[in-house]
Amino acid sequence: MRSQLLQEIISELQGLNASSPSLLQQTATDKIFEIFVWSCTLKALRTIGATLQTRDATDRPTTSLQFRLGPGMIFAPTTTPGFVLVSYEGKEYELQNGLRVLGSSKVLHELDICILQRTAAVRCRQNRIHPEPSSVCFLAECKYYGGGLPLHLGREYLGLSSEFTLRVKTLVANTAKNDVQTLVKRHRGTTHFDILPTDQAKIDRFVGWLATELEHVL
Amino acid sequence: MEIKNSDVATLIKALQDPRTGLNWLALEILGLIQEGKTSQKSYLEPGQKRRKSGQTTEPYTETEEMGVALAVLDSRIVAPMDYWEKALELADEATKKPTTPTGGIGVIPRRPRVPIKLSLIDDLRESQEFVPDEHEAKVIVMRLKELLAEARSEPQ
Repeated sequence: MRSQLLQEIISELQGLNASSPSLLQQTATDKIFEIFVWSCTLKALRTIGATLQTRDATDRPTTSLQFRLGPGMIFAPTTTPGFVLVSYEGKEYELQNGLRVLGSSKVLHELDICILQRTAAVRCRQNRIHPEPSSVCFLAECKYYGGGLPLHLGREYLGLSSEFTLRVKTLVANTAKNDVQTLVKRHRGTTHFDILPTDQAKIDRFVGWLATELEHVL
Repeated sequence: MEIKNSDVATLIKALQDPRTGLNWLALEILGLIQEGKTSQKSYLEPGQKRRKSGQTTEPYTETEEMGVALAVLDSRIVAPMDYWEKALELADEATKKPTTPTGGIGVIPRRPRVPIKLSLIDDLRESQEFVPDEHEAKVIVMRLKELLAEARSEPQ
């Protein structure tokens, strides 16, 4: 590479750190990818005709949704993000991001994206308890990597999968790795790889899949 | 570990500089280069007539090391802006309420729709709000996008 070009790249990176240090945190880029997948789920819910209302962490209507870098507890508003109240076919749900939920082993897990039964979510807020696995209707595990996905992520997803016996759960990533896909598929899991904002066809297929599956489980 | 490509070594050193503060990015690039690339390889075992095929891991070439570094910079710095904008677009689309009347006669006054606003809070940095569409940062990211594209198009 021309040395001038290299120096320009380095100079811009230093400038970015000065102007927007948060943008350069590893956790921030991971979270942005989760929010993108969350927005695909939101679109899928709209596609099946659900009514959506944005709520803040204290369960009040809002037009400004706040997400958080770290996982939150549903009953502690200073730790939880805002969520979307979903009404579909006479029932209500909550589309959540970065929430701590109990698995079948009673161990707490952070679910990147999940849909909870509304009655269970409200009960948890009121009684300051964690949601049980039976209250989860859908979950998506999101992975964002610069290179190919490491194999341990596939194993981790299988572990999470065994804690939540749901019909609809998926591993979503911005990149792909054949052996991760093979591993997850072998254990009857689903994956959605190479989901990029520049590939509208892939986004549409992913949203379409979500809409079909959510229609069956909500 | 030793990096073959001197430009990649320079880049990694710059990322690790406290003024740049991107040691995690340097580690990600180093980790990927160290992992190497998987490829198919054919081999002939002693006494066998037919070659067999197997999978192996090889180190990256000098040129490929730069490819890895550029790909990581692109996916970790440039692409998140695209993801954020797409998320805003999808969320806005999904939360649009119908504005056309569903029936009856009469004029229904249209209230202006308040578009949904998304933001990301960093609780560890005293609840600093992370605003990816901050103008200055966006300008720098767009410039980086151009520079990385220029670097990729350079003859190796």
